[in-house]
Amino acid sequence: MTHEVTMPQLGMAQDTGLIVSWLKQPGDQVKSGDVLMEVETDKSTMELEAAHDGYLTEIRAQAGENVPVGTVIAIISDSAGSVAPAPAAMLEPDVPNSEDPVVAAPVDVAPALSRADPAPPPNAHPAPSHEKVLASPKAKLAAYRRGIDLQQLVRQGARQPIHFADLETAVATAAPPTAQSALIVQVDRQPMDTFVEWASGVAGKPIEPASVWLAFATRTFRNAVDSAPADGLVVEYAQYGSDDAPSFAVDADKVVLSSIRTLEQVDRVSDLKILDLSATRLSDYRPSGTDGAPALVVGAIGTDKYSINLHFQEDRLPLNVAIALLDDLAGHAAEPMKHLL
Amino acid sequence: MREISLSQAVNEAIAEEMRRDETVFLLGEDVAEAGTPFKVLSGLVEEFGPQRILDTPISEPGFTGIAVGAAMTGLRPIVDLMFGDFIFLVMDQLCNQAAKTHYMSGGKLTVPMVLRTNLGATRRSAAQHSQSLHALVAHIPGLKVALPSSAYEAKGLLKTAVRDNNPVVIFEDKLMYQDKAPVPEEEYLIPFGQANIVREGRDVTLIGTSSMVQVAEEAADILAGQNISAEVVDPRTIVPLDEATILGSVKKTSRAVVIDEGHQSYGVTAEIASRIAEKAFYHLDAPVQRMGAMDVPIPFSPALEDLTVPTPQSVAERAGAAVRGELFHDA
Repeated sequence: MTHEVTMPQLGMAQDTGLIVSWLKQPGDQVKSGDVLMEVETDKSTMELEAAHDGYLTEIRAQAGENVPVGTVIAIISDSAGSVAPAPAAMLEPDVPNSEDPVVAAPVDVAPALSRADPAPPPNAHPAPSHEKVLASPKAKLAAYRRGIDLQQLVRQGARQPIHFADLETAVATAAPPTAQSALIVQVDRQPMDTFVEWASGVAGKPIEPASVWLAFATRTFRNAVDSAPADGLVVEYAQYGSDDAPSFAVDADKVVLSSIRTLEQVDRVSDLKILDLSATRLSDYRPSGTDGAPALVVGAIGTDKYSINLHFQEDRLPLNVAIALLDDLAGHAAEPMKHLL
Repeated sequence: MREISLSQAVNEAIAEEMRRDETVFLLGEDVAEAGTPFKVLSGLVEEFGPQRILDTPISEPGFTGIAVGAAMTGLRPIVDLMFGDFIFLVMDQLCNQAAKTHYMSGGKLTVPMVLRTNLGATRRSAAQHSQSLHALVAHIPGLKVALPSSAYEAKGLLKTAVRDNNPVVIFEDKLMYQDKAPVPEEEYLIPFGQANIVREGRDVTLIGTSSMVQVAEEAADILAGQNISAEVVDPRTIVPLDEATILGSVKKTSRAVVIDEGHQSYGVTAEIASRIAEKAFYHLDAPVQRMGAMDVPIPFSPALEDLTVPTPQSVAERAGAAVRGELFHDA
């Protein structure tokens, strides 16, 4: 058990006290009421008495020092052997002038220690990683609440300072949230390739893989959804990596493969899109899709597999329907001959 | 409703309060037979006699001190200070004595006095008779400060001032004495600390005091032509200040222009603008604008004098810039 001896306030306007002399030395036994030292204020010299019995184990301010009121100047311990740890501030070689009122105040300890510690304090704010954006308080608050990145607005060319109305404009012109879901399946390439070859032989003319994908996709889409549009299912096919424009097929599953006709355009939106990347090394493409049609992306995985990715919005194509569609399509791709049954 | 001038409204307020309460009396320079330079007090000495309408020597500290003493001992004096600029002469009586007596007497004494005076430039009265010094007294705790913006406001606020148990300084705009406004025949009071939303708007709040309320209204008309909807708020009293109404309006519009005829630096505009910045900061979409009198002695030259005060055009220009997001000070 230790007791701190602090510089007392002996007058109304007294900020510091000058230690004239210590009457006890470290190690001395003291009794409550013993005079420990003499202190001089601006008006008089007074004696400071011990408030506890024990041993004066430590003197922290020497005679001749002018010490701020409230500063710990000595420690009285219950036993002679216990040595109170010296506070870090006292160990710092660059302790400022003792007239500095914070010299021995405990609050000074932490900064003194952290100077030797290269790590930032744990609660320090991380250094801003972005340029500062000039925006009105209202704009900043609204951006924060709506999750709008002002940095992004600036990168998109927003003029600074950004005002509230600029946010409205930005929100109005931003792409609607895509909320696209994705399902992915991998199938061996060989059955499809063999099938195309075989079908071409039977037809006596080349059958394009595009026709096969169109037929399979239309069939599986029709199987998965409850009701198909009365004017036919429109499926769009685009081969990425080529310069060919997208083509469209209506009810491609209702005719034989060799009779599938593709159109350059149709007068309504597609029910399904096929984006064929299989001529490239790419396996997927995530369309930013604003028209909401589900997209089948056929990609390559190495040289022996296709990946078939279905990107869709669940409010347009429920998940279980999408799963059924892709599962069915994977089945077609694995055993294409079944399509003919 | 009948329309009367601001000076008639003030005259009626004084007469009604003197009839209602015999402890009310008025004193000042040229207030009796002369009826004051602005003819506000015509007829009062005839009705109430020289005992209650007291002509004093040209000694503002003297008669203001008399009023403070009379108020402390049970009367309700109305001091007529011919020009607001003379308030410098009565600073001790007003700020050290009247403002602090209630506090320093432990609540035993009150000083229910009214100091009626004026403000406003562009009367070609030169630098010592054209100042708007209400910020000086608004700074002193213990004084209430009213700034009527029309005949209607002047009558209602003055009657409230007479009945208040604290010293009240009421500044009339000396350019508005002949301006007429609808004023009901029947008695009414306007409570202190309740701002008036003179005109509702959506895009910017124009907070105007005294004659600057008119300026703000005309500015709002100009802005309406630019499809900008301005709200005009008249605080009526700057002590006490109806902060809630001001903040509510600014939170709605997100923009504020504060217009007051006192010098701009360290003045009423600064006080109100800073409260908005402190308490409606996250609602602001433009920096709060202050428009006060230019920080110069008011020139005698009419051409120069007219440049020192905010005008409907200058207010509309500034408010429009705020709404369009054109105010940007690259510090």
